[in-house]
Amino acid sequence: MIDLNHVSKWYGDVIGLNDVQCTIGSGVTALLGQNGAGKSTLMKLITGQIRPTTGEVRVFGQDPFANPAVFEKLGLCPDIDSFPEHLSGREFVYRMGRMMGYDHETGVNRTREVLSLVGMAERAEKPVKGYSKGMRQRIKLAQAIFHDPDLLLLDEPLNGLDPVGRREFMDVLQGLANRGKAIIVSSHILFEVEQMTRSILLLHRGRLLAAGDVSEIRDLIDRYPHRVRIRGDRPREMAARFAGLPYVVSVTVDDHLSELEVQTRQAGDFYGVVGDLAGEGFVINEIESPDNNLESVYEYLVGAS
Amino acid sequence: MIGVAFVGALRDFVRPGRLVTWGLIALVVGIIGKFWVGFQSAQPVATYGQVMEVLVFRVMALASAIFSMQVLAADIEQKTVVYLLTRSIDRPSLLAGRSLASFVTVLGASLATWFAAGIGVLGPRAFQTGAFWWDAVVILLGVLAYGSLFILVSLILNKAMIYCLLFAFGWETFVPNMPGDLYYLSIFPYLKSISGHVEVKQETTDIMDAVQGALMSQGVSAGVSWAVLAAMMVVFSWLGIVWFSRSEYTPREDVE
Repeated sequence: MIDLNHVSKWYGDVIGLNDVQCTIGSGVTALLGQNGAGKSTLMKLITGQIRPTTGEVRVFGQDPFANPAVFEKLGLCPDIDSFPEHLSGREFVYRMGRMMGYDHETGVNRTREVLSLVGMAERAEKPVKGYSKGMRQRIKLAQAIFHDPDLLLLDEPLNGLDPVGRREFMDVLQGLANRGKAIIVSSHILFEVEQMTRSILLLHRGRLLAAGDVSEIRDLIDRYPHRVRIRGDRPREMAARFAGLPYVVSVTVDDHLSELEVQTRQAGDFYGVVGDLAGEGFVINEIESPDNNLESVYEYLVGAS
Repeated sequence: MIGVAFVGALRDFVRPGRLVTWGLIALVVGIIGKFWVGFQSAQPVATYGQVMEVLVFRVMALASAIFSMQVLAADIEQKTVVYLLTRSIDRPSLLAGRSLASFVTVLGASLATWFAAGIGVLGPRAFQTGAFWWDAVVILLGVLAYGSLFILVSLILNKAMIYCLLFAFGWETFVPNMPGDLYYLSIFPYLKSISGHVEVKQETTDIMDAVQGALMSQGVSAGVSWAVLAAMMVVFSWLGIVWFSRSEYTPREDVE
């Protein structure tokens, strides 16, 4: 479906993508990488917004740059948060749909369907300028799936969504993937993409570092402790609970700030235990991860290559 | 698909707030015209020509600059152009549809101002004045000429509004008054030539002559003006389509 043949993209003296070669087929594929890794550049190349400086991009066997034949089968949910703010969500989706070649009646009906699919049917009459971040993400998804594309590209789609919204969003994506659509999702958070797919492309500073099953990346990440900082009412009691977990490497308590810092090798399991503590009545005011352990993996992969 | 792009853009351009604004501008021009002719009551038709050249043509240039930016430059700046560029409409059709909407909007604003100027200066006699009706044609030409130029500039340059306003109010005011042949590179002298307005008879020159581009006696024939403006529209439109079809419109911060 998508072929990238030794693709590089330079923005003046800055390299956005460096000699990337890969093929992407149906199902959900995650583009994983930190900010500036080249995810958005790759998205823009695939969606024909920009041309490669060297190499070749093929989507459905064609050059995607400014190619309406490709856009008929492609939907894009961009990472921007900009809209024509004066339009209502319904009007925006309708207009985008009309520009895909649908007549008025089909446009109206299809708008109703996709707004319902993304959970915006009841709230689509208000101007976009009054929407929350999550509502904006849903409207962006609605315009992307309006024409039932074979290929859907989602650039950081979970940004700003609350946990319920994320779950609903992922369910929609899974439904589309089950119907044989190819979906490419970019993210800089491994836990997010793990819940959507096993297939990933790992980008770092414009280079494709790894491609394949997410478990291989997970194995690499689990070698590096993941730091989690928790602020709550009984840090010492929480610390005692965490210290008994086999995958917790260290626990540090700061009574003055009512916080503790934990280093764990299995972040997913650890967050599950944090949830259990909250259920037991522990007051947890804030959870944050001060480092991004993908950086450790990048360093490892760069060092190994 | 041009129709879809046209209708969508036109609905944006003629939002109620904007209609009120341009209606008020037309009203102000009409009121100024009414007072203006009071100072030159013996030469109403010449005064009408003066109001057209000093005010209406400027309003037309201003509207062209504003709505040309709305064709695509505003979307490029706000990054919403990504939605437009990933639709199954080819880029020439997208540009043509949105440009057409811009031309129609500017034409509407300019004709409202022209009408108000005519009524303000000439009163009901405007409808029996040939020069009044002829100016509607001149305005159509001006809208297309300014529009095609400003849209091209907006596709090529960032912050194009500044350059377009400088052209409309700086270049178009001063260059026609300068000695030499530089005035061939402006639009105003061609419009002035085709309009054929009667000159106000006066002993000395004043600021209005400067704004009218009448300080120097040079001019171009109406025939040449028609040819130049027509060529200008075709060339600028063609360049705009070629440029837009081949260019990447990446948000600036992505490049840095």
